[in-house]
Amino acid sequence: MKRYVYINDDESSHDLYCDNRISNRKYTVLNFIPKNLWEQFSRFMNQYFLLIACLQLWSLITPVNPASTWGPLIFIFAVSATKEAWDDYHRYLSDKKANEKEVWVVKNGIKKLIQAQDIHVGNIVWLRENDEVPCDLVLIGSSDPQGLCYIETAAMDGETDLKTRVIPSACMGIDVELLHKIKGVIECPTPDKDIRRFDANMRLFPPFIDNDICPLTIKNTVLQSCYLRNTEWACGVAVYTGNETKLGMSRGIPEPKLTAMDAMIDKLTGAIFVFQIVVVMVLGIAGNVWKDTEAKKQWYVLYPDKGPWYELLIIPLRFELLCSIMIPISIKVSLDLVKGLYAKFIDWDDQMVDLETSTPSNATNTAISEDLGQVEYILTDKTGTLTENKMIFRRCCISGIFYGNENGDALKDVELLHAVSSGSPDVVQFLTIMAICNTVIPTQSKTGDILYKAQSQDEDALVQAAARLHMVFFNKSGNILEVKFNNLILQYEVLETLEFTSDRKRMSLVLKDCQNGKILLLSKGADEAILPYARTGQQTRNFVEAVEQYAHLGLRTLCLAWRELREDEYREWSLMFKEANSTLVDREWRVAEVCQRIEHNLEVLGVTAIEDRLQDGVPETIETLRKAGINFWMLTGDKQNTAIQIALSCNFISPEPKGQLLSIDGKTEDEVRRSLERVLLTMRITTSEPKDVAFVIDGWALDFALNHYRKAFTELAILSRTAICCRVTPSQKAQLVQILKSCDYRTLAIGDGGNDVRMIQQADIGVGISGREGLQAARAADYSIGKFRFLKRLILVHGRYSYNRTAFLSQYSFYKSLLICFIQIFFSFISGVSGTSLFNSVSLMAYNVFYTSVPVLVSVLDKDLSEETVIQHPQILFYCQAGRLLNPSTFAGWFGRSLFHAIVVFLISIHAYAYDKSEMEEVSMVALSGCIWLQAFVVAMETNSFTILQHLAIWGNLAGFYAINWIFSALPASGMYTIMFRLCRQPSYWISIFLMTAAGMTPILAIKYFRFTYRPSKINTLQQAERLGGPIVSLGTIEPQPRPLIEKDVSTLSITQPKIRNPVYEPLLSDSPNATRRSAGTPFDFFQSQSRSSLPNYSRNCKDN
Amino acid sequence: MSSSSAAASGSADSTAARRNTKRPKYSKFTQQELPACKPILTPRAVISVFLLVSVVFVPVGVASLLASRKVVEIVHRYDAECIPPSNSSDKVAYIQNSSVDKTCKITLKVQKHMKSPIHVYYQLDNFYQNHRRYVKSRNDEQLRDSSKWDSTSGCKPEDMANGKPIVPCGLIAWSLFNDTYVFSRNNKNLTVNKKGISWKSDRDHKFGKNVFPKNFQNGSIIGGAHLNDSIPLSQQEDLIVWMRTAALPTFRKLYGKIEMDLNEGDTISVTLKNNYNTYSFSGKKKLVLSTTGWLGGKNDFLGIAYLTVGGLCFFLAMAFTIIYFVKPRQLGDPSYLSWNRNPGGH
Repeated sequence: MKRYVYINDDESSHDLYCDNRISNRKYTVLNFIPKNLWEQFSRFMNQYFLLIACLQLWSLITPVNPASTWGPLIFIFAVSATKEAWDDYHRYLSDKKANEKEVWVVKNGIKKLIQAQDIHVGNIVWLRENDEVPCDLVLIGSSDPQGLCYIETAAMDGETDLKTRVIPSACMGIDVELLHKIKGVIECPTPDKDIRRFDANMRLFPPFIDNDICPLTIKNTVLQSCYLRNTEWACGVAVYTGNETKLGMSRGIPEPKLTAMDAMIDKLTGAIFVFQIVVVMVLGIAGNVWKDTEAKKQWYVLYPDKGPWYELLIIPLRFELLCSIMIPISIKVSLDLVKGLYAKFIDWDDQMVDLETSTPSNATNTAISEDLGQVEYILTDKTGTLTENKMIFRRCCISGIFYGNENGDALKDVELLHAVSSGSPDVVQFLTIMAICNTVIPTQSKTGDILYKAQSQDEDALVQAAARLHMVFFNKSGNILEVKFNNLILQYEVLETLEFTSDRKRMSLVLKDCQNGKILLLSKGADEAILPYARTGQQTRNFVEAVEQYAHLGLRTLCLAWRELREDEYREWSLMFKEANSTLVDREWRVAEVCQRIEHNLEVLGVTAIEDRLQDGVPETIETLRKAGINFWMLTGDKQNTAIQIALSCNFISPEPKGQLLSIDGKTEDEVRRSLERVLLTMRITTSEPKDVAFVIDGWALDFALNHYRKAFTELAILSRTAICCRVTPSQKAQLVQILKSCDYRTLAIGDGGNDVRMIQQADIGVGISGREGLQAARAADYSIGKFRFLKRLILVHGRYSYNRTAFLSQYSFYKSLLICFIQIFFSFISGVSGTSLFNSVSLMAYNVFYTSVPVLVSVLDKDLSEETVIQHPQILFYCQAGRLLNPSTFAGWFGRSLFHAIVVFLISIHAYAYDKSEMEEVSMVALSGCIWLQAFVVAMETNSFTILQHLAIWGNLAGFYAINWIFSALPASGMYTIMFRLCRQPSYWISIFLMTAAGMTPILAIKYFRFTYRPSKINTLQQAERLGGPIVSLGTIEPQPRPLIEKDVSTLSITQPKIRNPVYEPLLSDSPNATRRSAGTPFDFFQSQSRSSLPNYSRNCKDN
Repeated sequence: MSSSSAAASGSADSTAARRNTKRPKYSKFTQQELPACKPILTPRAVISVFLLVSVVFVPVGVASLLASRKVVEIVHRYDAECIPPSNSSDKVAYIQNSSVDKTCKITLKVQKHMKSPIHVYYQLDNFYQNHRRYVKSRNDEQLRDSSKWDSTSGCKPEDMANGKPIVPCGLIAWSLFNDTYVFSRNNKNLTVNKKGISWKSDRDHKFGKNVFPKNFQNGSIIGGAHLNDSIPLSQQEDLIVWMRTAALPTFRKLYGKIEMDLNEGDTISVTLKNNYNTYSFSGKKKLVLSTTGWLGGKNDFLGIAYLTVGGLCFFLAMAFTIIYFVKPRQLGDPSYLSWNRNPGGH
């Protein structure tokens, strides 16, 4: 399918394609109520409650007042509908803002200011500097004479550097005025979400140059949500608009997230529902049989001889209503309440406030805190998430002399400063390259300060550093670069720019020194792209060492080199270069080849080391979380080498020999397949070894792997605890999340940029870092935190507590409803299986609303272990990950407990209150009191830490129960008039209650004690250790203490490790800049690894138990 | 900004920053730092709890059992013997035949001295007052308020007779128990006090002083007892007692009180009118004379249950003590943590 865009044709394409209205809304005013109701009723629980509520309207079968179900039901629905409406209204407002932004568009040959939503496909849109691009455009004009313009794509892929875009050759040189009248056709594919590809053709109509079809690539486009930078103006033709832009296509509608716990609760609810149906059917049949055999003889019941047609249904339906409390309607309300509180605790947490910017953490999604405790995979962005995204020049090595090793900052190194002031030629040349061998554009602000606009942060850091060392690059006018060195102004004329590509891994400038007319070649690049081309005779060993040393410190290295060109050499080469640049086929390859011809025989000057500083506490955080059994994947748009560097420096992967890094690469499908198979094989072999095996894959290979070898890749994903994916697009990030999710892993995605948004939305939990790249990720995320290190607290403290608390709360909710339901069922056996409710409506309603919900709500304050203990023993998290506290078997325990308690309460009530005391209301109140007392003790027993609030809630609730019942007993109109007063005066009442409590609780206490002491779980052991004081100290010393890896003493770096080589894997680490050569396969040495207690397969194995 | 300076400035201005509105308000509650007591199940605590329970429960159990044993009770089943042998083949026909005189004489022997007041109960077995159709078949408003005499909702099928509302309506009232007993000792009449057998609260508030039976037992099927139309419901104590429905199919209802001691060896003859039909559902009818103790009537259940629970707790306490000494176990031993034992994982 193709789309034909007629440029500047106001009529034809209007109807064909949508306008530029962006809409993220879920509802409209009209469809809100039906759609929202429909969505709410797609939840099984809601359908169930609606059915029950409807059945209760039928007074023949209802045991209680229908209001007891309708009230809560309507309340719940209203709350969630209001919330939805509020969210949607905000989406509407932000859409509206984007849609009504004014842009310049050519209409009927005149430039007009219109709203962004009125842009149509084919319109010519004019942008000024710093404008946001309103839709996907094909460039046709720019203020730059060479047709270039710069854009910032941070919102799309998160890369903050500026990218160059160029107008297509066909439009080159068209006069500004004529651009208004340009006509033509663009043939482009139907909208897709691939932001790297745009294969289209353009043909201009006469009178414009109409020779050939001009091919268009992504280089000729500017996409929606990018910003125009460093370019006065640009204009382009709208090709994709509205929700059909590349960004719009990749913007998935975020699905409401359901925690694993909710799913489990739903599952258990389903099981209870089945159980309920069985009970109802059994009792229904028994009731009908009893009715036919016995009740006909019970003359006082006066059954009519012939009932209505639905007679057989009445008793089962009565039981259905009687048993409907088995599924507690209160569970949703209480869960929503406590979840809100969990979220508030995160918002309030004083230890998760970023002190630099004083931004507190924020839980946008209040519903998924429990999932935090069950995270198994963390997918993290690199730049800005793990690192500060602040590049700083730290060290350098010039002609074999190391600067900055002592104090960690070359700019403050006295020796370097001295060398600069004394004008050492090598150093000056080094600084010159730092200052001008780049594509940085200096601008002077009004105050006279020089600001640099750089495409890459590294270049920016180098130029800034050079300026601090008195080599100030202060002006670029046309091809003339002006540098001030010690008040001396030097001028250079740029002759050629040999651009950086990821294949060449270097960039060079050919320029003429205006002082003496010499032609120079200045190069900078990765070590493997520079050092092999050193002039014969130059010793590069020094530089190799320097690079290795810097890389071990996690610094990004660049090698700087230069040489002088002879006039004729340059002339000759220049011709070839021009020719290569104008080829149509394989241009990039040809250019690279030509560049190669001049970039040799270099005089290597030195190595620069730039630090992209890790955020505080990143290695410790990753270490702790990995100990907790969480697997880390790094997904970055950055280069492979940088990614591996950072991964090493933040404990992400262990250095050899403890760790092993396998690479999946290849340019073709076949290569990728082979590589993938090889890695998979290695993984299978090493999976039994206690070794950290990680794999690295880049965007290209990932594309093949995801599209063609998904199964193999999925297996790899399961086997591998760690992975590094470089050069990945936002949608690939999301796909990776999808793969892990499809294997039933709970994923957490953390990122800071717009390119992480999709991954964040896709993952079970999205965490955004409210950082330098703006707030996009933070806004799309479920949680936003200020710093990566807060993740530890978020997961281990908040996630874990939330999980534990919800586990208790949900099971307890079922326990209490089952308890009262079992009593009702037992009672039906002594009431002629007729469906009589032992308890009256007031008691039943108050039971769920007051008596049992208050004590359990304060369980949100319960802490089984102190925060310090959890942080110290992160392994304890696996109880949450493996779902040890809420699963069918724990639930069976609670089920059994409620059955047992029901039997205790029922038997004691009917035996103690037999014969002359068997008055209905009294027996009912005795049974109810028994339930309440047992509840209080069950909550007390399951509470691990009692704060004053818990005591108040538990015992106050018990007192409240009596208060409420005394009030009802004082009302003559109520059915319970005087009952509670009578009971409280009877010794037999109190004796029965104490009997129930003791008989119900002592076996549970005995079992709990036995388990706690003789079959303790890890949690119990830690509790014992923590509360008995003493042993916790020894625990701390047993635990290997994580030490910061990064600032290791340099001297240990040269220790070589014996290599254990497995022929199956390809040692990818040698590919990183600190190793010498890929092909040589020399041993790759890392510093001695820390004694880390890593737990491969920890969670996996335990889960299988 | 370097990390050290950031940290230093961070701690320095933390108090200042706390005042910043963007920052959360600090309190022990919001930080989840409320002081808490964290008890754990140490052997000493658990064993003491069990011992304490047994120490409390055994004496209480003994006391309850004694109280129950002190109560003297005479139970006499009469539904079978009060059918004349000639009618034993079709008891239902006999009981439903209103023209037959159903007087029946039984004698009770007092085995033990009975102190007044002696409660006279009738006990019905297999009678489901708690049946779903039965238990709700009443209208409390009508019983309380004479102006609501025609409100009969919930009383079906005994709401109307001959097109007029029944007062008191419903199955419960309609099936009012109608056996009567006359007691005599040594041919001397024993007065049975039938005043004050119902709950005072019922007489005062549930059954109206000016609500009189109307149109009662006028329907096609006669259920149980008839009511005197001239006596207000608040004084129809048999009805009030009957309408306190029982939760169990076996129940006793107070018939009256004998306010006189009965001596050991006394023979009490009862002249009863065997009117009430329990034969169609083979329910038993029993006459019960009983004294009361502080726990009520004769019921060994609580005493036995208390002794059982107390004994069980004692046993558990002993068992745990023995296990504790035989197989001591250090709490919180870090070697139980598998990750300390085996760093390789599980």
